[in-house]
Amino acid sequence: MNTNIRRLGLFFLVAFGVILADITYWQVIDASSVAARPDNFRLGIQAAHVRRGLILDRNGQVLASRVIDRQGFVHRTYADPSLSQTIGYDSPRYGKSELEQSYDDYLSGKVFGTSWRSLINQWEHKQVVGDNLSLTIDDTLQRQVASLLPNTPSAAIVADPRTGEILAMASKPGFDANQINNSTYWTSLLQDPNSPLINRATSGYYPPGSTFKTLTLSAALDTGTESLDSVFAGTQATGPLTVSGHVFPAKINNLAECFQTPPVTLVTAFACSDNIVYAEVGLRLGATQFLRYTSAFGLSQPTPFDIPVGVSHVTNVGGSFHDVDLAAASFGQGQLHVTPLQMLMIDEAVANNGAIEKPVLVKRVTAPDGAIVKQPSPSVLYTPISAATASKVRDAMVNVVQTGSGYALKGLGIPAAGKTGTAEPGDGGRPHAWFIAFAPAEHPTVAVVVIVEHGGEGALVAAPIACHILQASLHAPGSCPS
Amino acid sequence: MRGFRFRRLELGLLVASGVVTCGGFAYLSYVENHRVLQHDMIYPGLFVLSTLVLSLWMGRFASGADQVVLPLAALVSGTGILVITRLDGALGHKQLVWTLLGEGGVAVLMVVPRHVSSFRLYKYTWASIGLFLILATIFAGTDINGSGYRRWIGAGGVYFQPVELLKILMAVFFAAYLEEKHELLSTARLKIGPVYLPPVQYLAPLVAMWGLSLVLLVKQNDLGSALLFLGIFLAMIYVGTARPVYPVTGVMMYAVGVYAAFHLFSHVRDRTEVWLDPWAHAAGSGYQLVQGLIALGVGGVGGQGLGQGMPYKVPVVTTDFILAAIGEELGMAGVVGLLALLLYLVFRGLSIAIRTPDGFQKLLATGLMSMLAIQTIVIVGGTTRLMPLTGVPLPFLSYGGSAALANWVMIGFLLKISSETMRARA
Repeated sequence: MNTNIRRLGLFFLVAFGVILADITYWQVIDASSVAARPDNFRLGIQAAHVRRGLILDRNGQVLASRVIDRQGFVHRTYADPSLSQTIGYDSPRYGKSELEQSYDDYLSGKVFGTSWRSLINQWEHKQVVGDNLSLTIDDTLQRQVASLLPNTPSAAIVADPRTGEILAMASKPGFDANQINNSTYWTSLLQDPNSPLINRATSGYYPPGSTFKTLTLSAALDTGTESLDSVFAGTQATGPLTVSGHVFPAKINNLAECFQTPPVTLVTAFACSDNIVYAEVGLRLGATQFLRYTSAFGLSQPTPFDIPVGVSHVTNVGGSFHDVDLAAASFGQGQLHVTPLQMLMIDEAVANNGAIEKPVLVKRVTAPDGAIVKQPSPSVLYTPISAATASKVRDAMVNVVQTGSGYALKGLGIPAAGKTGTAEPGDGGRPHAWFIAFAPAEHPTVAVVVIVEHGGEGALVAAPIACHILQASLHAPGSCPS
Repeated sequence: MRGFRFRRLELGLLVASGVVTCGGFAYLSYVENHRVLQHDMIYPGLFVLSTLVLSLWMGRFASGADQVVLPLAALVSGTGILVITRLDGALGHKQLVWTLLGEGGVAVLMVVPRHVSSFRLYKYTWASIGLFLILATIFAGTDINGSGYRRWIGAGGVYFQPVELLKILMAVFFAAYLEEKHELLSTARLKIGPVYLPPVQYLAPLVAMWGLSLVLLVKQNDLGSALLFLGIFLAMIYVGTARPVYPVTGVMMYAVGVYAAFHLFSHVRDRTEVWLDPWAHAAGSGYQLVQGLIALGVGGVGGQGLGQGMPYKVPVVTTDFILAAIGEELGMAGVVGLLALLLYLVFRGLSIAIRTPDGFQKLLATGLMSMLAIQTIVIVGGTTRLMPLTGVPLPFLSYGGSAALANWVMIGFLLKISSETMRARA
């Protein structure tokens, strides 16, 4: 019998060995992936107790703070509703968006970095305190920008072209992230035809209209195809222009409103926003060169940024790019659809000697004890044109303000450069009003883009807003049209 | 006092185990109150004291008994009370009361009956009591927790699970019967053509007893206990007859039975499906298993710390799924440590079985240790998806009054057997 008892013991030993191997699998090898399952209710409870990091503006003003209720649950409160589509929301019910989502690991204290205190807190099962975000946003300017935009769908971005730092970013209509957990409010946001949850500045798609001539001009000058003094005479300047059987009519030359008659130079055509001349310039440049420059300026590729950005495109998905499309795209129409952020980047290239700095929204991530966890340094994202070309395009944009459609900025008191856009939307409604600008013209420190959906003329609607924004950001002594 | 001896090793080990238990309770009190409440230390103090008193009692009535078994049981049992208290204070106190009763049972066993062999004489009495328990549960059982099955017997607020007593009665009966007939069972052969078959007629009482238990269990949907009974039956018959044909036949018959059950009963099918892919049923029938695995994953190697995890959403975490709570808060370190203690206890028991010259006691000790080992394997394997989940308590760790009582009685048998061996040698 004893032999059998020993064999039985051996059997139990082996069985326990198998069980231990299995426990090792669940508690070590597969532990983290099982624990990360969404039906692990602990995650939600822990998240609700995390002292989520603060979000501050560039001057230390609190934009998103935390309130701890009696049960120890942490709730988010937001100071500036005009930043709701930039900072986003953190809702136990509807999830997270924008910065709250993209920087969630930092805000919820999952990235410890340099902070020993946080690590020790975790070991001791003490309250997890998230890292703080310092944004590049200047909230004083942000509030001014938001109040300058009309209460119709519109967007504006203000940035420093030298560093790529976003100083203000507004999108209307907005929403109040403080009320996001209210299901009635949430439903009303979802049902609003103007989609207030969408950040139009980064994810709104529009035809750019004449603001896009800045890119066409840059390409033509940078390749040497044209100079600022290239002369366009007769129908070259006035149209009608026939491309592959499609007629671009004379009425789009805009010369009459500008009190000009042919012949005109390229720089005058830019100031008067002559579509015929720019269609001609695009055709002379050719599709290959044109597309090379659109890509160089960042179209057709994802823009690295702290919050999600829509990809701007020259053609529709799967669309072809024939000469007609090239001619239309050259003055900002056709299949082109771009985001305001993309137009800002084109504007910045001209302002910053041909280089586009990587756009930045988060200036610094700091641990609760103040240690710096992450601090991105400015870096050049694209260099689409040479400094010499940028300088020439800047002169053309200064000329727009001095003699052309950018007259709204004439009284700013600081020399500014700009370009208007009046983009025909595909839906047959009123045109979208665009304006891109930067100032001071010689050493630009502020770049701005404004779009008012279905606002009408860029010169009449968007340019005055841009003027006020520049005035507010640069404390310009002059005045802007009301 | 004539014949008294201090059991020094046992007392030393009990003090060490008591330090661990009290330390655990103190830590739990500190975590929950930010200081150690005196009130929280009464219960562990009482438990540790009771084990020391039991050791002194042993020194008087069974001074030669193995000195490691009791400390092992005390350490695992104390940890069980600690974990249950952490999950539900009131249940922890109840578990302590049942444990004290169990220890009282051990003390009584040391004195009455005088010899373990007395149990052997009344084997048909045990079988009859078992039979009576089965019938009583079927006809007069109570469903006290709304499980839909009448698994309890009792009245006036005191209930016990007959299945826990049945386990021990079965082990005693099997041991007595196998000891009496083992010569016949291992030598007699029935020849049909070229095949030698075991003498079926001698097996009949065993199969009948086992079959009846199964009826009870199937009627109550208690598949875990059914599996456990089969395991004990096969282990004892293997040790008793030295013929592998029995366990092999038994396992084959079991396989056929499982196959049939899989096709006949939908709940068996459901359980198998959940076992094969719990993730697909994570919100429904697999919820318990998935939440248990999540708790194990959350615990990781070192655990979240006693009182600092959140194991309470795992269904039946205080009983069948206590391993999930232990795994979450004490981590793999705690789980492996406790299983090692249980395995060591099994080995200690098997070596007691090897040392005793008496066949009945050999078989009884083997049967009881098989019970301990198989029960652990079945529930831990079920929790960790090694096999389909069938609910049985984790010995000394799961909450359960009848189980605590039965486990301690089992320890009592072991101690008594080893004490008699020493006395016979002296």
